[in-house]
Amino acid sequence: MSAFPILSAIWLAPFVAGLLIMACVHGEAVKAVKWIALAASGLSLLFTAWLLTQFDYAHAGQLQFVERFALIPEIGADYHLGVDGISLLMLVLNSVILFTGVLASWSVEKRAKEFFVLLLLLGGGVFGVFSSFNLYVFFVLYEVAVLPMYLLIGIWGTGPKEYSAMKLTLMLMGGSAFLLLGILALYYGSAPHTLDLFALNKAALAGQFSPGFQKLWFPVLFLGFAVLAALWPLHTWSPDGHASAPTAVSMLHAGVLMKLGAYGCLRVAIFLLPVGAHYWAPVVASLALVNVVYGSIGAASQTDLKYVTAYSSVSHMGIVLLGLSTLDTLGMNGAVLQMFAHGIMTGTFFALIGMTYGRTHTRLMPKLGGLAQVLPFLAAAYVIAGMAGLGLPGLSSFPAELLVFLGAYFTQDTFFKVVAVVAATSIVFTALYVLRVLQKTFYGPITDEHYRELKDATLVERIPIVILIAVMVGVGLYPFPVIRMIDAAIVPVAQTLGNLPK
Amino acid sequence: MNLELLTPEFAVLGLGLLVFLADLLAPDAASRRPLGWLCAAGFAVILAWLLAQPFPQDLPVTPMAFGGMFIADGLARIFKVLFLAAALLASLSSIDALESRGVRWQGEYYVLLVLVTVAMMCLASAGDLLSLYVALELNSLGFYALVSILKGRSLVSSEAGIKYLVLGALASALILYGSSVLYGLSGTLSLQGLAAWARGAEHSPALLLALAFLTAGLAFKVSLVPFHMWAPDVYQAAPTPVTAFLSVASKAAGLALIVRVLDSAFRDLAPVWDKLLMVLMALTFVWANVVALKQKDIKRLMAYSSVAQAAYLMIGVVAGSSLGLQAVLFYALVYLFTNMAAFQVIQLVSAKGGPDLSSLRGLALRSPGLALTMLAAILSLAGIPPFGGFFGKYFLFASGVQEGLAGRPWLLALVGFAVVMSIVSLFYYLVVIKQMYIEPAGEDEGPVEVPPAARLSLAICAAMILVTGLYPSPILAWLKQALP
Repeated sequence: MSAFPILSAIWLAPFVAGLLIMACVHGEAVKAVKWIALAASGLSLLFTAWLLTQFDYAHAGQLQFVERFALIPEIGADYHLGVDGISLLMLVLNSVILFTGVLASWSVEKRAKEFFVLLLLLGGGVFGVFSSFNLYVFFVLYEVAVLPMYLLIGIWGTGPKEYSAMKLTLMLMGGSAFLLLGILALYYGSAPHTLDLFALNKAALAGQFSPGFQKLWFPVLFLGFAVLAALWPLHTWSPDGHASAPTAVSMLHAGVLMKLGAYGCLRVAIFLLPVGAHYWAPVVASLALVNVVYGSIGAASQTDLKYVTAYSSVSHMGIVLLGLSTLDTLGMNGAVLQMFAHGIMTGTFFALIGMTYGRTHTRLMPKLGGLAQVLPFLAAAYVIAGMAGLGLPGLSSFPAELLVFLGAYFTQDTFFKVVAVVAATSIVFTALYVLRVLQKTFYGPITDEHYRELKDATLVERIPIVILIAVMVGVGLYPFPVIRMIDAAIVPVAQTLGNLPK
Repeated sequence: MNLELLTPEFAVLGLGLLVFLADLLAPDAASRRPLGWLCAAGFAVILAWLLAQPFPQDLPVTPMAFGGMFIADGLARIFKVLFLAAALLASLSSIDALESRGVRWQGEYYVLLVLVTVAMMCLASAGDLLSLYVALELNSLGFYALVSILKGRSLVSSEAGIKYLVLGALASALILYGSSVLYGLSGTLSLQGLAAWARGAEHSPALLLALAFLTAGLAFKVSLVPFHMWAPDVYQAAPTPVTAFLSVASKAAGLALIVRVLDSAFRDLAPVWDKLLMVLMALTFVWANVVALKQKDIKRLMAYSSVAQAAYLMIGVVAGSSLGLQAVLFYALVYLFTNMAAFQVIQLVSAKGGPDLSSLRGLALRSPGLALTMLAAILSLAGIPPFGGFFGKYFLFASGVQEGLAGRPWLLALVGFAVVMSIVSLFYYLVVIKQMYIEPAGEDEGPVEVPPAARLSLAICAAMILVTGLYPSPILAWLKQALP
């Protein structure tokens, strides 16, 4: 493999660019700030694309492009980066969303310098988490990624932004506080003490974590991450946060950060505490089922476009968590694919809503109508994203949801069969809210004469939408390479779950 | 006699006399201005010298003077470095602050600052309950005067001085009474002698009483609930540089006492005192963090914050392992720079107007650099990476979890509780950030002027907050070297 530290480059590009802007660029030079931000996120995108070409798909279950050196040896903290199939997919997701998010924020003028600095720190932190395989660095970057949210929503948000920002930050940081405890418990529970993810997995397989230990600490770690994945009833930060956040922040948060939660559930909680995972799986599945149903009913009863999308995220993240809770290869594959598919889809939604709001200055459905006549591009894009939302074959969510439901149904457990049926039935509500939004907002008569003068998407706005929809359609039509990639990386997890020490 | 062991103390004492003489010779107020720089330079030289000294390794006996009343071990050295660094930063931040508040006794102020530092250094080296008490009194008396240095300018400053004096005397009495009972039981005042005696001691009611008195007195010094009630008033009313110095150095001195007395001498009696301490910590976590939520005055808010921080520090003491001791010292070091930075910013921002929370309004737009420094300090206090406070807390929690998993479920529960309450504390820290970054500035509020001395101390603090968070290994190695 190449000696170039490609993974460091991916996360450091936005990070360093953010610090550079902070230190060197004058606050008035808005154009320069935006171009640097775009260049940095573009660089990460390019690096990730290059990574895609260099990745050894035959061994997608193994860590590749490993970079490792001791950071704080006293507490077992190493700088240990690597990618396997799952990490790689998440890196791709983040680079696409970050790049398109910067483009979607092109119209930000208020305190633009600080906005892009925070956005880049957030994006860089997420890259770091997805490629980090030492729990200390993982945790540090995780918090670095979450905290900028407070200011991003508090300063540039809309509506009750300070309340939403505070609620979101406190809940997510609360979750991460439990993570901290869980990580320390893993460290001191293993012998020799380690924070290396794979070494901890070996410790688990060797039976170093007693069943009592696992049953105690699994919920601590799982819930710590699940707050970020919006597991019911810990999801309440999500609708408020996503609705108040500015466009790019909603995109990154719903598109990527929530995946970080699910990723942690899989990578840390399930992978390291398999006995606990088996013990708590029915509880997790039940809560995830509530997510699916409650989220789609919630979305169907909202009138603010952002709230609709935020609740639909709660519902879709429920499918991810449901897939994880099956602890079955098929279901977990589906969960990871759904993480990717939902990230792209919800990113598209939030970008489109931001663009629509920038024109109509309202997101309330009763006040909107007939926009397809004046904004055909945005309407068409919204229709495609909406179809992805209700799981239409040919778009990326379809194979993901299918795998999750099949995975749940084909477990040997009647309970999971029932859960799968109920969850799949709730797609009806999904169809309801998606079609309702399309009908009320884009079709029917124009409700406000001012809307007739609106201009359709500009070039800068079209680029991110086209990229996102291309990914959505591409993965939807031909998901097999992606599934193979995930599948190979799921194997170690499945083996861990299958080879429990008796 | 090993008088050379006292070199640092003599050097600081010499600095005090130098400042005193210079003050005597200075003809008017304007020519007293360089006194602060003289003080800072003196502290810097002594600090550099002390840091450059190698730690004596593998000695058969701990280096001692005055028949064991004075110990010059690695632990004492670390605390001395802490006190000197705090004194250095405090003198830097005093230079312009005193002038702007119109303090008439600049010479006396710096002499007191130096003397308090000597007292704390002796405290860290105390090997005997008697020398410990004398050093403690010298330190407290100096602080009473420093707190009320605005006499004639500000009534609340004098009031705070009186309050601190009365409550401080109570704490001293508690410690003295506890010590006298211990002397009655054991027949010795030397800490080594007490440690030897404690190994076989019967847990008699008198011993419990003595330990309870001692713990209460020590809890007063580091301000654990319910012995914290002096802190908010004193912090609020004292001149800001004194508050800063008090909040870090005096707390570190209290910590030195706890480490010397409870953690070292009475380690074998830990099952007796650690329950008491854990109750005090739990009370502190709840009370300090909840009450801080309601504060409108930034200095009071910081007072409650530093009450809460003391309880976090105690996790390492209760853990009682060598990891715990390292964590405590590391956190004390981080806390020093963090709190100094925060108070320095508060002092600059509230120089015009009062120390109300709203004086920070719109700071991000008025003085971005200052806001960024405050942001780092606040996030460090809240324990958010990549700042020193995060690693410090991580280390403290690690020591707690390690001991907790090794069969002390109550300690594990306490750490869990501490973690939950740290989320409550995040709320009020975020409120400070909100004032700086989200609230718009008032119309007449422009950029904040930062004089060179303050700039220097802020730069040192900011650099240390980052270094301790990003690359703590050299400091950990230094601590490990000092604590064989």
